[in-house]
Amino acid sequence: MANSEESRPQKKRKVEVSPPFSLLSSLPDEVALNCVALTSRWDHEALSLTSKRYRSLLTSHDLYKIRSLMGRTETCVYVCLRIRPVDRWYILRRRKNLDADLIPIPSLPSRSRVASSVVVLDSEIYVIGGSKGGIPTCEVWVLDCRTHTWRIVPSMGMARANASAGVIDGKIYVLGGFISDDYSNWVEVFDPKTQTWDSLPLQKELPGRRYIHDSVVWDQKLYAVDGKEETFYYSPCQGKWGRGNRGHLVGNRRDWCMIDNLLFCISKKGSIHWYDPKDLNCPEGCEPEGMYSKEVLGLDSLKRSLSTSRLVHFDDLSVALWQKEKLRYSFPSWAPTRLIDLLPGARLTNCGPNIVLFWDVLKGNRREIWCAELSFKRLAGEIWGNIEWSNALMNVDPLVDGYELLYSASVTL
Amino acid sequence: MSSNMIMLKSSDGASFEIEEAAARKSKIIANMIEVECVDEDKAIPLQNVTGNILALVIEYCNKHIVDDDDDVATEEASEEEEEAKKKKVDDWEAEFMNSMSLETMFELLLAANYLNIKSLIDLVCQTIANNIKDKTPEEVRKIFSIENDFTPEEEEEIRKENAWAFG
Repeated sequence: MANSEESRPQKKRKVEVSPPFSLLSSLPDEVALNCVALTSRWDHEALSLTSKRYRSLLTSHDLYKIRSLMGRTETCVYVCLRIRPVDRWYILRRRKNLDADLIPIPSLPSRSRVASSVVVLDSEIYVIGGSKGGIPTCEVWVLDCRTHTWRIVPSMGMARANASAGVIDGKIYVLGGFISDDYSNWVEVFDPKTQTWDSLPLQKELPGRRYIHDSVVWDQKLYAVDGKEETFYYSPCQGKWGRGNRGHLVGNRRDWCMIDNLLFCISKKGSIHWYDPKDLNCPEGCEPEGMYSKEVLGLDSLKRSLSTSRLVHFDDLSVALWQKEKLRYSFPSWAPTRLIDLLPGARLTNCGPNIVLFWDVLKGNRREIWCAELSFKRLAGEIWGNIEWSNALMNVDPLVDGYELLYSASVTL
Repeated sequence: MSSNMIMLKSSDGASFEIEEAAARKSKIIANMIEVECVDEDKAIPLQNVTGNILALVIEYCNKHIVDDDDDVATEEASEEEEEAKKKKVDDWEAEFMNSMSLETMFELLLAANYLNIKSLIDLVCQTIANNIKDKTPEEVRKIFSIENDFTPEEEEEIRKENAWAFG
C-alpha cells in the first residue's frame, strides 16, 4: 500500500511555531474553485483578500463558467447616477434582512455622456455612443462586470445619441440616433468575436426622423419605440425594417422591459402597464394600430410617488426636440410643459423575472432615492404586482443642481 | 434486501461492507467493479481515504441509494410527495453536515473528489460556501486557517480595487 499520505502533516498536531494546516489550501484547485463558485459575489472580495491562492482562484476565467454550469449565477443591477457634476456607476447590493444600497464601482474613465444606448452582452455592459457635451460620439465603452474594469472597444462608423440597441444571436445591433438622409449607415452591427462593426444597408428609406425612447428585442427583432409611441423594428435575419403597432396610452412609453414574454412599461401617472409583445407585430401592408395595454394590479401604493419622481434624465437634444414639438400642441397656460413634468421620472429595469424600480421622493427638506423590486403573478388574465422589498438607497441634497439616473442594466453572472 | 455486497478497505486498514448499488455512487468504484472485475471476497483498497472518513462516505451513499431507485418510479408520485421526500433528504443532509467539524468536512470533500461522487462534492462545497457567507477576510482566514501571504501594501491595493464590495 502506498504510504505517501503518511508524509502529510498531521492535522491533529498542536502547532505553535509552524503555520497551521490550512483547510482550504488542502483542496486541489478544481475542487476549491467549486466551493468558491458557490459563494455569492459579495463574498468574493473577502475571499480574494485571504491569500494569494484565493485571489488567483477568484480571477480565474473558469470561475464564472463554473457558476453558469452549476446554475449558480446571480443577477446584479447596475446604475449610472448623475449627481452633478459627476456621473458615477454603482452596483445595487441586495442582502437578506438588510436594506439594499448602492455601492460605487469604477466609473467610465472618459468624459461622461448622456443618451448612450446601454446593452448587456454576457457578463458585460456596453455603453454605446451618446452625447458628450451636446456632441454625439461613436465611442463604445465596455464594463466587464466580473472585474469591474472598463475598456474601450472599436468605435461605430456613425456617431449616435438616443439610438436603439439590442442583442440578437450574440451580436449587438444599433439603429438610428442621428439625423441624415443617408441611410446606408443607419443600422450597424457589432460582432464581439471579431470585435468589428459593420453597417447593414437598408432596402427602403425610413419614415422620417426618429427620436428613440427605448428598445426591446422580441422574436429575433429589435423593436424601438419613439417619442410619439410609434414603434418600428429591424429584423437581422430578414435584413429589413418595418413598422410595428403603436403604444396604447400617451405617456406610457418609458422603460420597456421584457419579462417572461410580456412587455412592461411605466405611465406618466406612475402606473405600470403590460402588453403582449405579439401585439407589436403589424402585418405588412396594414396601418399600425394602438396596442392594448393593461395595468398591473396591486401597486396602488406606489403610484403617487412614481408619478412625482424626477429621477430620469432628459438630454438637451430631447428637450430641444420637445420644445419644437410642443408648439404644435396647445397647452393651457397653467399646465407644466417641461418633459420632466410630463413624463414620470421613475426608472424600470429588468432583473431576472422581476423588475427593479428606482424613483425619488421629497421628504421634508431632502430628497431620497428609493428602490423596489417587483415580482409578478398572472391570475385570471390579470397581472398582479407584488413589492418584494423597497427602501431608500441614499439621500440627496435637493439644492444640488440635479441628480438623475442616466442608465440602468442588469447582468447575470 | 438481497443485493450484492462488496468490501471496501480504508487506507488505515479498516474494512467496510456496502451494498454494490450504494458503492456505485462513486464513479471510481463503479468503474472498478465493471472494468477490473472485483473479486467477490477481496476488499477494494482505497488508499486515499481513512476509515473514519470512509464511514461517512458510506453513510452518505447508503442514504442516497434509495433516491436513485425512486428516480425511476417518480412518475406517479405527486408533487407534494416529491417535495416531502426532498425535504426529508435536505434535512438529513443538513444534519449530516452539521454533525462534523470543518476539518472533517474538508477530508470528506477530498475523499468525495477522489472517489468521484458528484452529489457529495456539491453538498460539501455548498456547506463550505455557506461558511464563507458574509464574513470578513479575517474571519475567513481564521475559520479556514488560511495564512495571509499578502504584504500590507498588496492588501491595501486589493482593498482599493475591490472597494465596491466592502461598501
